[in-house]
Amino acid sequence: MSRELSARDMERASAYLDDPLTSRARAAFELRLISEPSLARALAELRETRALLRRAPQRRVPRSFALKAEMVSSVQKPLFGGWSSMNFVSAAATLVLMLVFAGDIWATGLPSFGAAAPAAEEAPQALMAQEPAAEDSALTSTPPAEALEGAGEIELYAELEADRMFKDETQFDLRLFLADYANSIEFGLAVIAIGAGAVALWQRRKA
Amino acid sequence: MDEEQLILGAQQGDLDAFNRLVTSYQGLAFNLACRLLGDAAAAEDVTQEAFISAYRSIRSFRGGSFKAWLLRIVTNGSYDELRRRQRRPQTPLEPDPRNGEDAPEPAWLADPGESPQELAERVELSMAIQRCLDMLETEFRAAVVLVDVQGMDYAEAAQVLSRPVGTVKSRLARARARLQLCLQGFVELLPDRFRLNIEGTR
Repeated sequence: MSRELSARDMERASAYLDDPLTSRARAAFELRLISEPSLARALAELRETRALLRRAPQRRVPRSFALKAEMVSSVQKPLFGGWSSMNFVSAAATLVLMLVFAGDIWATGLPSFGAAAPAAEEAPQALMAQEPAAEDSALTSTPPAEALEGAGEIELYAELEADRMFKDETQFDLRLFLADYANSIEFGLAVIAIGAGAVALWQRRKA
Repeated sequence: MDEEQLILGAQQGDLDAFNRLVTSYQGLAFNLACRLLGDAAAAEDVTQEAFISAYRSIRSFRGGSFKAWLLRIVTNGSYDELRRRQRRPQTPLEPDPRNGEDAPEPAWLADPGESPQELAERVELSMAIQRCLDMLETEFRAAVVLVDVQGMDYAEAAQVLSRPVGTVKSRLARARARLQLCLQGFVELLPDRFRLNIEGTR
């Protein structure tokens, strides 16, 4: 049986039938056919199988596949290898999200995750708490370093606020705009990117 | 007009020239899709889509075998259809003889010159072959359909499949071995003149 043959011998026997072996390989194979009955039997079986497959009836064409002008013009070729509009929306939203995020960092600095911001918020309170003590001790003691730092931040804050109010009235400032609205824009863009991506995936599966 | 001129005309947007190529190759394309998919209706769709796609991209054809280029589009379309089916399995509308359902009237096989007996035998043979082909993995099926059923040589089949000749050779050998085992299972169903003469070779 052919099942006893190695895969390599099976491949050689199959190629021998179709004649793509070199004359030397062919001669060597024919010598083996004489001395190995199992190989000769496997070859005969393969030949029968091939003959049977070649007799497989061909189907008649059910209709003409000739193209009509409207068939070629009506179906629009999808852009960029079949990307749907949802793919583009998702990709564009992701791109804009990255730009806004970068702008947000540019406008407000890298987020410090709970260190600087609370300190800035607490600074006025810290200063208020220090005020009575400062009055009591009058000139005898200097304010603590933290309070000074807090006071410095308040001044900076006030400056920024004044600047913001002035600029609000005069001209558009991208930095202030991003500081105010970046989080909302980022959230909106993330929702659009994820939503459009999900719709595109669903459309692809549906197709 | 020879094939080269028709291709040139089609590349310049001449739909009539392209349709003459369609007429020449539609039988081959449809039969390839049919054997790969085992479903005439799906093969019809894949063949039509393949010709539309071929017309649109014919400017990218840079010479060589047009037949191989066209059949590569048909093969890829058939692969896509098979992948789609794997994702979304469907119940075929056509009766399945494996489930005891009757085969449809084999009008597509009818040859005015043959007797009903001969027609029935050819239908049996075609069904046995298709059932065995359906059991093969897609890559093996494609190799055996191109070489043994469509009569292509190794180099042409390698072009269609975009694989080296050596790969086609080994896939074909393995596909033939598996088909041989499968067809032996149908030996009782096959008419005498189609039976594998394996007993005699033992």
